[in-house]
Amino acid sequence: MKTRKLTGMALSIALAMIMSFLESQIPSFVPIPGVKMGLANIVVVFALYQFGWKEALGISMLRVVLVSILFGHLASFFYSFAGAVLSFVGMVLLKQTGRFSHIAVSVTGGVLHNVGQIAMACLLLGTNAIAYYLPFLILSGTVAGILIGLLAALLVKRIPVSFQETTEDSKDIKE
Amino acid sequence: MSFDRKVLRRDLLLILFFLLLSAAMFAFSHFRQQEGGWAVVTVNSKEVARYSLLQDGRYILNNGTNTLVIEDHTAWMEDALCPDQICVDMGKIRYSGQSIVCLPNRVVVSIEGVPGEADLYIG
Repeated sequence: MKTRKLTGMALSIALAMIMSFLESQIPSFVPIPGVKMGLANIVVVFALYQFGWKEALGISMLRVVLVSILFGHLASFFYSFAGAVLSFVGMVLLKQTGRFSHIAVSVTGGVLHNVGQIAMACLLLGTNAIAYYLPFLILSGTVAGILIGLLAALLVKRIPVSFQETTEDSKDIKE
Repeated sequence: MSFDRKVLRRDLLLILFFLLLSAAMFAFSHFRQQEGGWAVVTVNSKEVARYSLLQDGRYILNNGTNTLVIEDHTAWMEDALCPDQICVDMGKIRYSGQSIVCLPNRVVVSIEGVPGEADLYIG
């Protein structure tokens, strides 16, 4: 079981990194900084349901660090880090209520990711002028979150392997 | 995928909440918008220049990484030395509170003040 979990997590990190790389190759279709699909969040949401929050946090943080080292720069690390942390906290809290599905969890993650990035940009650039883009980013986070949530829910259903030792979260997976 | 109906309804409510939130923020900034007086340039969290929107001009920012143009009370980024060119694509701004951000070069141009204000300073 331990090896199985380790392999699963390693695979998830690799997948999340590939998603980030793929996304960086897609030119931005809206001229607003920070608008993106958030493909890597498919893996994080999946991990949240199939592994548990600690493992998902590890996957999310490692992805941010590794992707910044490989394809980004120092500034991009701070933006992704702020976004990833805030988004993760929101997703875990919402999931723990047990009242929402993958879609709402992912939407919250998408929106909060953008909020976190804007907050970090305001901090780093020393101006709150960027807050002007907040409504655009809440909208784009919601739309992207719906899509990512649907994909994650599909994955959770198609790969119904639980990597958790306990089954306390299995009640969330509806067949 | 078959989700609980109750769960789906709550999901929809949450999505609706975010959509309404962004709509409300759009509306708020739309109704509040008024012509600005300055294009304030911030590089690396420091204000480096402010140009009156009443005066047409072409300004080189941040040792040449970005070129700002002011014409007809509007400001836009004409040129940028960065791969994404997001700030160039952002287009023209003229209302107080609007901004153009170039993250790679850490350059922010934001509109502030009212038209008359800039006149007083220029003289």
